[in-house]
Amino acid sequence: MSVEQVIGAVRVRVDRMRCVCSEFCTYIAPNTFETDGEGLVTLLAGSTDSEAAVREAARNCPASAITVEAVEP
Amino acid sequence: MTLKDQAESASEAGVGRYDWERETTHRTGAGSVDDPYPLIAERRAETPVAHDSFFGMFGLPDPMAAAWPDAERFSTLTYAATEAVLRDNATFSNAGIRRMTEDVFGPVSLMGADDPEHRQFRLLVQPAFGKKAMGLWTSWVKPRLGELIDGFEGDGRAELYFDYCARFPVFVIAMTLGVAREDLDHFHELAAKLQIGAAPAEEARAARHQVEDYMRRVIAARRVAPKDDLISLLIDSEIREDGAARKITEEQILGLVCNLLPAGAGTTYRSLGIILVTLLQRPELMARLYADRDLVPLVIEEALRWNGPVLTAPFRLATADAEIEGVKIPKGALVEPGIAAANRDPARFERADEFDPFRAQQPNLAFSFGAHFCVGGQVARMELRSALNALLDRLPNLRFDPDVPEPQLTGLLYRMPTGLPVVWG
Repeated sequence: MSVEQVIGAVRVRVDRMRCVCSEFCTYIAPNTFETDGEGLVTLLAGSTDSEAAVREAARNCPASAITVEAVEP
Repeated sequence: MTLKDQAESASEAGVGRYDWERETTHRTGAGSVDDPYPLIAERRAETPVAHDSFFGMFGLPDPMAAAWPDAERFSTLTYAATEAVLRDNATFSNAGIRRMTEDVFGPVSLMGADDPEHRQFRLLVQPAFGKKAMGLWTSWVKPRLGELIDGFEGDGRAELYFDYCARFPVFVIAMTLGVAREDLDHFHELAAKLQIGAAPAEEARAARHQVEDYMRRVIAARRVAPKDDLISLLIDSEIREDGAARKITEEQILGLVCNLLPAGAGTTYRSLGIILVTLLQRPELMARLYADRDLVPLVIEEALRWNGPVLTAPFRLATADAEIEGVKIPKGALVEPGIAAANRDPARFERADEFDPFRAQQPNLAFSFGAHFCVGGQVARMELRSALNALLDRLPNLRFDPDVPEPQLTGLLYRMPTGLPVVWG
C-alpha cells in the first residue's frame, strides 16, 4: 500500500508494504512522518519540515520505503 | 557475594544461570576480546571491507565457520559499506545464515529467509511489536522489574547483571509466548542456547526441540481458549502462498517462536548491562540522569551506538559478483555486516569512539538495516527505558561495589559486561 503527499516542491511517497518500523523518519522529519498502531509509516498533513529533512529521512530509511521526487512545475 | 558464590547459589537454586551464560558467551569471544574497537579502527583505516571474518581478524576460532567451511570471507568496517550490504538483500542474501538457522530454528525462520517469503512472516509478527501492542508489553515489563527490585532492595547491594538485567527480557518474551511462570528459568537457558553461534549445533538443536515440544502444548491450549498474547495472534494468522491465503501451520509458528525467543532476550539484557556499566563508570553523568530523566532515551541510543550487544548482523551470501565501496566480492563469498564497526565509523560519527549522549542524534545500525531491521526494536527501547528508570526510581546513589573488582565490557560476537556488582544509598 502506497501513500503520497506533496510537500513544498517535492512529492513524498511511503510504501507501507516495505516499512520495517525503524521510526528513523519520525525522528528526522517528525512533522512529515508518523507510525500507526501497527508500527507502519504514515504521512502527516501540512508538514512544516524542510525538503532537506524529508530527503534525509528517505536516505536513512532501512527499507527504502520512502521516495522523494521533485514536483513538475 | 563473589561471582563464584553467585554461580554456586544460582546452581543450587537449579538455575545455573551464571554457568551457562559464561559457557555460551565464551564461544562468541567473551573473556578473549574485551575491546574489539582499536583493532577494528586499524583495519578500517586500511579498507572499508576486510577480506576476513571478524573472528579471523581477532585470531579466534569462528563458531559459525563450520556451516560454510570453504567460503571466502569478508567483513564490512565502514558505515557506508555496511549499509550498502544490508540494503541490497538480493545480492547479499540471508541464505548465508540459513544453513545455521535451519539447524537451530528449523525450516521456518525470519532471519534465514529472503523476501518475498521473509516479508510475509515479518508482516505476521510485526503488529505484535507496534504502538498498539506496546501497552501490553509494558504491562508485563513494569511489574516484573518491580518484583526483581523488591527481591534485593533491602540488601543494599546486588549483582545487577545476573539478578536484574538478565531476568526480565526472557520473562517478557516468554509471557507473550504463553510460557508458565514456573518454566521461565528453564526457558531462559533454552533462549541462550538458541542464539546463533552461542552453543554447539547439537545443543542448539536439543534446545529447539524442547521449546517446540513445550510450545505445541501451549498452541493446543490457545486453540481452545485464546488469550491476549502473540501465540494466539499467530494461530489465527494467514499466509499468502502462490496467490492463495492459507492458515499458518504449526511448524511455521514454531519456527517463528524459536526465532523470537533468543532475539528478544540476550540482546536486550546485554544492552542493559552495557548501559549500566557505562553509566556507573561516569558518576557525574549518572547524577545528571537521576535529576533529568529526559536524558534516559539519549543515553540508551548512544550506548547502543557506542557499544551495542551484537558485533555483526547475520552473515550474508553473495548471490552474484559484486563490489562494495570499491572492494570486489565474488559470488559465493560470505559477508559479515559489521554493524558495530559501522557505528564507530568516524566518517559517519564525529568523535566516534567517545560515549557522548549529547551528540547530535542520527540513526545508527544497532538494530541493523534493510528488510531485516530488528522487528522488536521499539519494544527493546521501551524495555531498556523502563528498566533504567525503575532502578533510578528505587535505588538512590547507585555505584559500583567498592569491595570487588570493577566489571568491564567483554565479548566479540556478543558483547556484555563481566558482571554488575553494585551498592546504593
